[in-house]
Amino acid sequence: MKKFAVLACLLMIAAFASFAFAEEADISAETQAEASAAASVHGAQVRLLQLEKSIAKNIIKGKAVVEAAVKANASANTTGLEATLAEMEALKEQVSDERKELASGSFNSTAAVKAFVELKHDAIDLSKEFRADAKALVREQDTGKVREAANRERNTTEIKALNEQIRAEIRAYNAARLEEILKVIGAGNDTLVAKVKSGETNAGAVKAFVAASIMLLDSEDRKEAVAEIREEASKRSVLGKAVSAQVRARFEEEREERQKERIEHIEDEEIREIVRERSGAKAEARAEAEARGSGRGKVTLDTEVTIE
Amino acid sequence: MKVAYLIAGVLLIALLAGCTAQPTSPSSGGSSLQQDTQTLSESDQSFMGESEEMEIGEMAP
Repeated sequence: MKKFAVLACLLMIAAFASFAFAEEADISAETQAEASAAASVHGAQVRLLQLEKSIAKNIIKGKAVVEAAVKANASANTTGLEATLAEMEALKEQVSDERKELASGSFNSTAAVKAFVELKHDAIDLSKEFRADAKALVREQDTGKVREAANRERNTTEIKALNEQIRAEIRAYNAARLEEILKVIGAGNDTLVAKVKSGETNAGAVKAFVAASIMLLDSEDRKEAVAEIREEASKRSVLGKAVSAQVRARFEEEREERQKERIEHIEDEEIREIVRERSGAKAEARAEAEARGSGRGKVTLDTEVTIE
Repeated sequence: MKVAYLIAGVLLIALLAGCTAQPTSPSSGGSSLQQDTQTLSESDQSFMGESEEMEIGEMAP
């Protein structure tokens, strides 16, 4: 009964968070679900590495777009596109630094989820901005060629290295998760854990083993084990949603700080200045828009949620 | 007579349906193997597949 009450409370918080997002639906349900996994050491590494890879792939695509724009019109002004690409490069570095910092210090699940949600949001915004600017410069008939060119280059050394790291972290994450579940069931299996770590078995086989182990328990133990596993999964899900709501509430304040930090990483002085100017103009436009809307629908959820 | 058969038939169906539903009914306090396995597979989405990709949006217009 107590467990049911706790679960009901968690679901209510989740429902509240969902309601909050309904006001300003900027952080997608997909990101919130991904954020849940970032609440663990290896999960955070996986999510930030996946983000780094997605940004790297978009930079490759972006370069192909710039090439296509110049090919279509030699005098096309691609400065804006190049400035956004430079900012994306800086964002990629920021993601990498954040990941290394999370791996080196004592792990904080709330900070990890927050970093992932914020940086992914920045990456989505920059991609959107690039696409909007490119619309005026790339002919519709060239779009397919741009995608083909980008696909040809997706197997760069950088992407390959990131794929390797992601694979290793996913295996470490699944192994840690399996160990936790086996502890709940009371069925240790070091061989299986080692196989998951080395990649000799996949997630599907692990799920099947867990289900089979649970079937061997007697009715009462089975019920308890399922409830405990379910409760833990709910906690992670609620953490992802609650932290996403916090991020949304303070997003505008903190975005500028992240952007300022990022701009300093841009090596080309001229491009750095352009990015700085564009960033200032965008901040002003946002402030004006906010003043006009007088903060309507602003989320004020301020809850510290942690997973032990 | 026909009405009596009809009532008996309805009662029999209701009784059979009740007997079948009882083992998986949440109010019974028990927990069926099928129900628990189903609950577990629904709640446990935490193992990751190695081919997962993260979407941040297209660059090409």
